Amino acid sequence: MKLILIRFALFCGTLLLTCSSKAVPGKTTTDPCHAHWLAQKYTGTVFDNTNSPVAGALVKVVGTGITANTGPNGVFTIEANSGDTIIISKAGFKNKEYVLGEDVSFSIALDYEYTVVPLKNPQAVQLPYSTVPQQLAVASSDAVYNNDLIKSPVTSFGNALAGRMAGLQTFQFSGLPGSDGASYNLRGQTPVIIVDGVVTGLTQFDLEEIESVTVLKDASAMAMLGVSGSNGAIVVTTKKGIEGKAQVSLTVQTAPQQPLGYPKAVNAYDYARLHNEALRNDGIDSANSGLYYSQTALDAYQNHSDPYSYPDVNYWKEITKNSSTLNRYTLSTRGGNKFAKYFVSVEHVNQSGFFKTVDSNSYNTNNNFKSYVIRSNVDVNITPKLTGGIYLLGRIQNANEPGVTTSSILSSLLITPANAYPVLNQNGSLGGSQIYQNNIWAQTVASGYRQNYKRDVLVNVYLKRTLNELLPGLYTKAKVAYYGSLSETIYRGKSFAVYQKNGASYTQFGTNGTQGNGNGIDYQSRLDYEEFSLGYDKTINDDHGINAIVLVNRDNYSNGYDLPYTITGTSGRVAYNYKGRYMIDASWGINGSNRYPDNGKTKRGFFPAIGLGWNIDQEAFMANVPFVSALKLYGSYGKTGWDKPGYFVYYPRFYDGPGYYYGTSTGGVTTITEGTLANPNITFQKANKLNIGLSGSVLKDQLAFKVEYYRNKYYDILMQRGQNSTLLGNDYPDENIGKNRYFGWEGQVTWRQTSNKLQYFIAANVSTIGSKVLYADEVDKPYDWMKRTGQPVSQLFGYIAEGLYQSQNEINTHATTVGYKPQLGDIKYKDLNADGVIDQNDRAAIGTTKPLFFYGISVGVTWKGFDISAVLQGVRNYQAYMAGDYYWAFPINGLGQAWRENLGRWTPDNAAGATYPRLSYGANTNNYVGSSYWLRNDNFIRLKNAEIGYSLPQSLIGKIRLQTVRVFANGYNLLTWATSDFSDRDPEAYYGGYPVQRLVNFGINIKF
Amino acid sequence: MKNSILFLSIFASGLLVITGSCRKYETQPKDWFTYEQTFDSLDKNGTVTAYDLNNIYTYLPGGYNRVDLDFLDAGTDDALPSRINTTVENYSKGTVSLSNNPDPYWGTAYYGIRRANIFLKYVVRTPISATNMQYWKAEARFLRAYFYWELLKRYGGVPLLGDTVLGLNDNIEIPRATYAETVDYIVKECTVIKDSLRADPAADAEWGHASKGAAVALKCRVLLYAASPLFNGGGVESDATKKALTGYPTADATRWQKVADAVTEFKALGYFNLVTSGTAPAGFINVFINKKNTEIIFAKQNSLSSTFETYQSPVGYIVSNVQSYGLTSPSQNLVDAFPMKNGLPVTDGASGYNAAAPYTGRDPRLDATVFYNGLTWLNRTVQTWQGGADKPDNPTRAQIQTRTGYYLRKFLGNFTTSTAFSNQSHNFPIFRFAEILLTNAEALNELGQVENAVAEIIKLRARAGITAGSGSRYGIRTGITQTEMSDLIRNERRIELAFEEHRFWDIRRWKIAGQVMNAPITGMKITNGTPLTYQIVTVANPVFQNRLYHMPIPYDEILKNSKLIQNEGW
Repeated sequence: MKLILIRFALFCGTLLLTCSSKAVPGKTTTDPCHAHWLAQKYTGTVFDNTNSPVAGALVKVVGTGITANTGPNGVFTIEANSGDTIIISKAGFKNKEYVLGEDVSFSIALDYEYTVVPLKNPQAVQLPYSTVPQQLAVASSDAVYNNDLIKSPVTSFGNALAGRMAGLQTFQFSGLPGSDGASYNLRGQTPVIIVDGVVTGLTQFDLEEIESVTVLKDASAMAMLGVSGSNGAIVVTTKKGIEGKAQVSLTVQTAPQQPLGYPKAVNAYDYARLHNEALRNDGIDSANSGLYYSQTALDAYQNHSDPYSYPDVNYWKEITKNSSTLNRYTLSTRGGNKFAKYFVSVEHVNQSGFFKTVDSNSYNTNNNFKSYVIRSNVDVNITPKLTGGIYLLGRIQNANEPGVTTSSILSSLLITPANAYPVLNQNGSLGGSQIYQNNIWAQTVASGYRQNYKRDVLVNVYLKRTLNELLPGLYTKAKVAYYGSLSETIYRGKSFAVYQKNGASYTQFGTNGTQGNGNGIDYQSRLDYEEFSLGYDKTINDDHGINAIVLVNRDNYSNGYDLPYTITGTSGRVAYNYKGRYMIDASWGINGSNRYPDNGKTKRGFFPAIGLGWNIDQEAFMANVPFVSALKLYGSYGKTGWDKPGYFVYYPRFYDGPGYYYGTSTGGVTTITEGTLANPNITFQKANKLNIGLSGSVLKDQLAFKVEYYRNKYYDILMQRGQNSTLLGNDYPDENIGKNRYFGWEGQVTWRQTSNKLQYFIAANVSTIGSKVLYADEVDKPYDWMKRTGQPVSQLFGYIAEGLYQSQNEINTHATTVGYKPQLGDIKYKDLNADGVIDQNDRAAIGTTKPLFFYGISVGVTWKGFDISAVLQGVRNYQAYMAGDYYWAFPINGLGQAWRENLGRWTPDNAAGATYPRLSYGANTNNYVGSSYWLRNDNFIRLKNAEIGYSLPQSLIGKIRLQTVRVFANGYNLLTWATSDFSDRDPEAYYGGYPVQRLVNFGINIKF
Repeated sequence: MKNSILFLSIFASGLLVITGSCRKYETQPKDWFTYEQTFDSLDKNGTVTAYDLNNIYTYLPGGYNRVDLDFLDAGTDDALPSRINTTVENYSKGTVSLSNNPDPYWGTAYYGIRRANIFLKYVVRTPISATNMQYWKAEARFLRAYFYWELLKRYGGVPLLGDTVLGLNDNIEIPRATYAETVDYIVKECTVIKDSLRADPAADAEWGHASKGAAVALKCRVLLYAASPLFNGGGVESDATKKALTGYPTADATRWQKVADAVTEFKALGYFNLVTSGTAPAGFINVFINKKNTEIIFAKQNSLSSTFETYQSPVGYIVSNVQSYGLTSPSQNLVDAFPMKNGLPVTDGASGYNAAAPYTGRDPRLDATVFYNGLTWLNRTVQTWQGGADKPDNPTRAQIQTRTGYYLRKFLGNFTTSTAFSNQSHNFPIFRFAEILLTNAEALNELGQVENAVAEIIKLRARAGITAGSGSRYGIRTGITQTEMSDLIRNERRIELAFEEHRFWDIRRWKIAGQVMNAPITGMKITNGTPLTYQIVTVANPVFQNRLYHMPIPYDEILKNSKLIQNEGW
């Protein structure tokens, strides 16, 4: 109240002052006390739409010659009258008009002109509980912003990160509508996902509502998370409201999508012919076994003379469509005033599946996906000292699929050969046989349907009160969040009978069932989160910057009927900088969870980290080096934790065993048995992490670079002890035994050049992830090559293949194989200990032991309203182990598919060029053991994303009161370069799951 | 100022609320059974304690389709798995290795032993009646002895844990006991507990619990093996230590007397006898499909089902729209081992065997053991001729078909004239009285009491439906020599106990595996026509190495326990 009075007094004073200055000569103002009799001093601050101040912008009062420029803090002062219009302009931004009102101090946000070139001044670093100006940050982080995220037509933001960040490798293993999930590998770990400060794991929501996605990689960034810190984090910050006129944005997009590579099965003739060859190779009696295809059958398969008795069906083609669509509609609005700011958005995604459907069904059997996402972020200045906000996310996801489920149809495709049955018999009934009762066509369209409904709500509420009256810069904040998640499935499935022609009649297998209805809750979870913090943020005497926070929080998660998993603790961070030149940053977490002895006690740990930074460019001696505009050396070291207590594993228990039967009647009896041995000493896993980095910007900020090295030691890793003998008579529990090291380099470089007409950039990032097992509690192994210690973590072990046996002499002279008599075309293994026998002592590390190497390249050009950008994603030292149903021929006791790759098998005629061992029937004990033979080089480069857009000129759209009209086309997974081993398959989803999709997306964005 | 103090207090109270957060739930799962609840010191009925006892039984080997859906006997000369390249054939192909042994049972046995020891350690807490306490403890000890037996026959002597329940930090570097020590341990346990077990027969509701008969039968079995050529000083090992681990170092003929004594002790129990109901082979069939009868001494109890019928019936039978699997192909070798109905072997010129009608006039047990061409099943005759319904020779019709011309009939319900299967009892007989008779015959014959041995075999043959013949010798030659009788007993054991997990071990303990498992396994190829033509063909050439007399201790176990000595040859 006092403040308002003062302001009122000031206002009156100014009024008097200006009018009395009427007679001052030399002023160009015409008649201040008439038209401009209220001329006064306005103070404004200009921000960009990331809330960073914009320096050097020109401010002009319309109709006068009065101008001003913004200073380094984005502040300008200008004399004008209430009701005057000012125009703010700066290259790279859209002109902004602002009508002066009664408020003499205000802020204005400028919108960037649409450009693909990354910002020179990236936004502040989003740490889990605070933000740090980029130049003061000592933690390891990288961020991707909204304008890049929305270029990818995907439903999970993870897929939009591919190739864009150093240290983060993403895999896309499925293209299933609604679950085109990416998995993440951040410096060798799976990071936690934090949305607006709450660990939720949510990855699928409207990409347009995301302001930025930040990865946090080192101990300094993660220490405050305590026992959730070791794996790093992906921090999602959603868009918040900004002061200014309401801006409405509407985006409409549609994308046809095509499946990328899927394993190709051989046709019926090849299948039958290879089948016979496999049997012959295994010496299976042709007269007696009844497994050989007769010549009549082979001919019929080849000539397609009797497609009902000798079918040759490409089931993939029968049930899938070449194309499906992804439609997306996003409407958002953002604005605010001094009292409240808001960002509200609604998104609808409608993605169709790739299964064929039939009109005769009154319901849909395709695996369609629809989602509705609502976001409402409102911040309110309740009083000058008290602010608050409610951030709300609501998500509804509805998915549909055939009654037997999409995944079982995909499994059927992997095991059903082309000659299994005709889709329909001659009499119109469904084809099938004793072995193949899974008529895939019927599974797709005649097995009923099931619908999945997912509901998620995430609510974040906070109140923040400054405590300047106690100590300037002090504030306190309270935050409460709730995340509820529910997935329900309604089944309306039915069974069907298949028929096999048997002479004149048909043999029925299975039964035609009526539709059976049911529903079930797949999962239901609740998370509540509370946080209270006390912070201090102040620069003293322009020299001493202090940023400190202490908080207590509680993260309480319940899943189904499991008892809640609750992490509680306190944590804090104190950052100090001297003149922005030297930074020291100490942070810590003291927290833990309630799954520890005895009786669900909370066990807490202390996880401290320290970070140091030196802005070399701020030193006096750097004044002579004008081409360097920024140069920072920074590093951190700290201890982080990872809580993986299992479900009360310290608690010795008995659980239900298999049933048993006594007596002469039919009833069973209950049995209970001792559970896995309890581990009373269980504790959290830990990691000591070192990170060192150098970043800088030279040549007028045209060239920016960043290099980081990390070395992380993970210890107390839960694993079974090496001497886990079965003499114990029970499973050994996981104990805190293992020690692993992860290490690597990350580098980024960006070149950008901007003029008014042409702006372009090219950026590259490279990362390595190396690892080494330091301790794995191994029992004594007779030979060094058998030891896992010293090898990379999750190194594959197996026999070392030395090609295929090409001559009997080679077999005779080579070491013998225990329990196997090799034949020509079998895999020959190296006898490592030269004892003349191939046995378990010859198993060693197979494949590469080099660190994983991955990289991304981004380019972009903006020119006269046009913009073009592209992202390439690549990986090296990456291998796929091709084995099992999706690669081998006849693997399931002689049943199962044969693939196009199997045609390259060893035969006497194709001895030298063989790319697959001689065929065998069922599991071959020599060829199918783990060996380097099945490892494939899975290095690939992918044009992950490319976009071309055109923004209509202002002159055109201004007339119809539109701010922006941009039409664009972008693509996802457009081109892939992989080794020839993946010519039939996708290098990421090579095992025959739901194929990854290629999307070509067309859209329009209108802002008004 | 007042306000900011207020906010600070809110902050402080928030801190308190969070750290001392109110609990709405129990702090650890209350639904879990702890040791205290399992062995409840207040439960006079011992309800939950009984659940734990029940659990020990589940570690017993089931027998039917036990090794990846095949019978263990499909790894002998008695049968082949119908499917190609299944794991049990590793035994007959000689392709077993340290890390590829289809039936190691090592882990299962020690898991079972631990459960028994836990039960024995804690059961005393439960205030059950003295009778129950006596029965239950004895049952747990019997099962523990039985698990050691399963290990003994595979590996020889193994680490004996006694009553120890090993803890997380106990030393597990426990050496193997010798063969002799392990035998003694099992026999002693049987001797000590037998009188604490329920007397036979157990009441209907308790049927399936180990009874006194089971303990004595186990003793008979263990002593029989211990007296047998492979273990009674006849080990193939060259290393003396290893030989002592897998058998007695020296032979001792008196071990046969211990077998005979144990059988005498068994017979003194009374009650047990051969099932002789109906016309042969009805009695023989009924042994397996009636849950409780006088012949079953101990069985792995199962629920009622018809899964087993579907697994074993010939592949041409489609019952309730489900095609049978015909998983097992008994061999011609086994079929030839069945004598004629007059008890004479088919190789005997006087037997009346006709190669053009090979299934006519045979031992009735043949009909109850294998499906052969012409046998009636589900109201139709089995067709195992080339191209017949049950051997269609067409991979799109049936991916599995008999490799030998036969399917397994034994243990199936009576569905000769039915149109569908109904649920059957499929308890797997672990001990049955017929085995006791055969064990006795073998011991008596070895002890020179040939005619006493003949008497035991005659009991079996009479029940089987062999005609008594002149002098009621049931086909056994008057004046049969000890050697001839030995062969006859072995043959009788083979056919009477076929597919009951005996043949696999018998050919080892008799040390004849090197001979029978290096000879061809044959089948019957039948060509359709009038009349049918029969041709015996070789369907597999098994391989046997001496090291296969004992199983290899799993590789991992050897690595993890430096005191374990691996069997010779592995």
